Amino acid sequence: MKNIGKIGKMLATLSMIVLLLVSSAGLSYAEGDEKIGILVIAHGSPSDEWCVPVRGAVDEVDLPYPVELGFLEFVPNETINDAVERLDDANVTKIIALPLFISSHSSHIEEIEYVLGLRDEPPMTSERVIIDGMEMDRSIIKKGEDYVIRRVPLGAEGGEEEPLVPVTTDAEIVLTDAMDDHWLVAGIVADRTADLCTNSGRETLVLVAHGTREEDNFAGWVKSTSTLADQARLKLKYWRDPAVRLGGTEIAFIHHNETLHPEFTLRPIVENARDPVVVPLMVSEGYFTRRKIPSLLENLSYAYDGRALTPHPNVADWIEISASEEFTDLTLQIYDERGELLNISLDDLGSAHGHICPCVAAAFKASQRAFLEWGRVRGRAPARGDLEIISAHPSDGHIETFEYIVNSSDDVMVELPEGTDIMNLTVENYNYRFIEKSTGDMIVVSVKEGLFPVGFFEMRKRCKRGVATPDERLAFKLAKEELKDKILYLPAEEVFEVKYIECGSTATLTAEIIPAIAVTVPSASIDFGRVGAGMTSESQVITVVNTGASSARISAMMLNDDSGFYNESLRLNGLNIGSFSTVVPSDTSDFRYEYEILANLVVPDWAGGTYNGTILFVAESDS
Amino acid sequence: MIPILLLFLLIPQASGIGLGASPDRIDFGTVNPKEGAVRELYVINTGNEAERVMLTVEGVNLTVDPQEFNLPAREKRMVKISIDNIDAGEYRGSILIMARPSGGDGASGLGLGAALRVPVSFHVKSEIYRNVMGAIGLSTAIATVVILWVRRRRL
Repeated sequence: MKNIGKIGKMLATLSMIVLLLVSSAGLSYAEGDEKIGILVIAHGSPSDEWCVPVRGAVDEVDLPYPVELGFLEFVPNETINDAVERLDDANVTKIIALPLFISSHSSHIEEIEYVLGLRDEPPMTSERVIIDGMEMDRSIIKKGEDYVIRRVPLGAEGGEEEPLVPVTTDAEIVLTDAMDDHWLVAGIVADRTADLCTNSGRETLVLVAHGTREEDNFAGWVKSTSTLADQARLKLKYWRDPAVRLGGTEIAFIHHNETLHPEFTLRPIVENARDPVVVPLMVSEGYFTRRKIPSLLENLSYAYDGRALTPHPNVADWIEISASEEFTDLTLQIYDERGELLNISLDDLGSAHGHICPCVAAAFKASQRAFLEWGRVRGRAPARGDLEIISAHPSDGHIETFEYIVNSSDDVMVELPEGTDIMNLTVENYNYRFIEKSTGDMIVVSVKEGLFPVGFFEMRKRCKRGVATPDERLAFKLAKEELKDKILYLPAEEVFEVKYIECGSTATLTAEIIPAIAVTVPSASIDFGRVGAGMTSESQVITVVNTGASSARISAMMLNDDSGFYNESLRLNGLNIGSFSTVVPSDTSDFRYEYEILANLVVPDWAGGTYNGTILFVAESDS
Repeated sequence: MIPILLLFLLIPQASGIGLGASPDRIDFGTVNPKEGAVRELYVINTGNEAERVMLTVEGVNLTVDPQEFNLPAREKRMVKISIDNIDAGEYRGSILIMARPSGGDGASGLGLGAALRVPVSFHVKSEIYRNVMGAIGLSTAIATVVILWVRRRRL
């Protein structure tokens, strides 16, 4: 039986080693198989002033992957093709392409798709554009087998051409949406607006974008621009300290069909708006922000500083979070009841709950973070049946998510922090304990307080009680979506605090106990040298150390003094052995109190030769 | 989950011969001569070399077990101190604990050593005294019952 047990243990150990090797091999294979690169694509401009802030925003991006910037046109040597080549040189196998464009409904997006090899032909568009103040006809034309962008100044012949060449790469390319109505862009609009507002409660935000003359795409521009304006209004009113109240919002376009959509023409909007605050929705400052918009609003009264989206830290944040949406792993692993490793995705949990709300997102990511820590500490995923989760948040989204993960309602408990309930939540409710039942070890994951905007929980309470205004409900809904994005896509260390607490079956207590009484004599012997009979030796120092916890009375006694030489001749502090006695206090700070005794020999007349013996210093409690 | 608490005694290290003991005195209190009494004494090598430890009882009749043993540096050893078959009376004495290098001192001239003296005291009750006191107690109780019974009869 003993041997069978040993073999079993050996097999288990071997299995673990094999499992670890396989999983590490799997990991390295996965990493080797998919090496990510980030490609930021901007439109570009013949003016370097336009390009500089864009380059700056890309430089600010902090991602664990190579990041390259490519311009669609106007910037030689910094084209999309150049950027992809650099990513190829970095051996990336997957390129996440992020169009740093205002709208996904720009016709340039289709041109980008063509360059990235995501469509066979570019859109054969032809439109009148203004480049650096010069009006031109811009069209995509086919020349032989290739396509080019042709730009011809009005009334001129020839013009210039720029090739539109598909990239050559084996890497998989994924193109994300443009900036559209992302909350980070709304944050920039809110900041720009706040800088211009001086009369809270009266001013009208006029958000002006480039727009499009293509009717198919125009609705998309209208939707995202108006959503941004409204988000900015709500952010300023509810999530900014001090709050900035706008009297209203309007959106306008510079380049749209004014006959069909006169309601979006900039000048009449600004003319009719009360205290207009004009904010350009442009990627970078240039001709439109400096010349076009002011010229369109000539002789009108309005607040305007011409600042575009860049430079602003939210642009780099948008690049990071948009890329994260593509590369973030939204699955976690747990051993099921049969010992098989189970993959659970966020989508599985969203389906189980009905939708992916911030609670589901928080419960999922907290579990994923805890399991990652589990893997680091234990070298394996946790197992259903041996995992208990205690949530400080009582919502259905949390409970159902945790119950799905552990496949049990018995192993999920709610323990509310004092003073909180389902109506009155605080950041303390975003705390989760993942407990290994067999050992009691636990991983505690909590959401960092800074993730919630100031007033979030108060607003939640108003919404839950049904006393919130429609604006408040809308503002809270936007804040929740923002929170969900942050929980899911910000780096985990920015979202969660993680603690591993070992509460296992053994706990080691260490104490240094000083004996009640203790004495140390550092020297093993003493040598008085050569001393003549009838003479007195020179004094020698004998150190005695009280290493105990209390004062000690030290006396002395002789051993093995067969002839009685030392009993008769030895003097300690001038006293013979039997009379010697002294108190050596204890040092309760380091428990070491040294005491020096002067010893000498008063040699009797009868003595001669060498004498052996041992003197014992005897310690006894003085208390 | 039952936590097991492991207590480590980390003994202060000192060079040379070092010797410690806990407690620093033993008071058995009143001891029943028939039952005897046992106490534990910990002897600790606070030095940095193995020691030969010898225990000697001074002035009193006690049993010390073990009386002699080797004790590695920074280790401790429990010694049982017991009283049995001893006459009634007050007893005071001590246990002398001496230490020398376990390899033998081998030194010529005047060697130095460390020792501890742990005072011991106890009181053994006399059996006669116990019997007399018991008889007095019993008689008093009987007398009280009788008096109470007589008074009730009179009433």
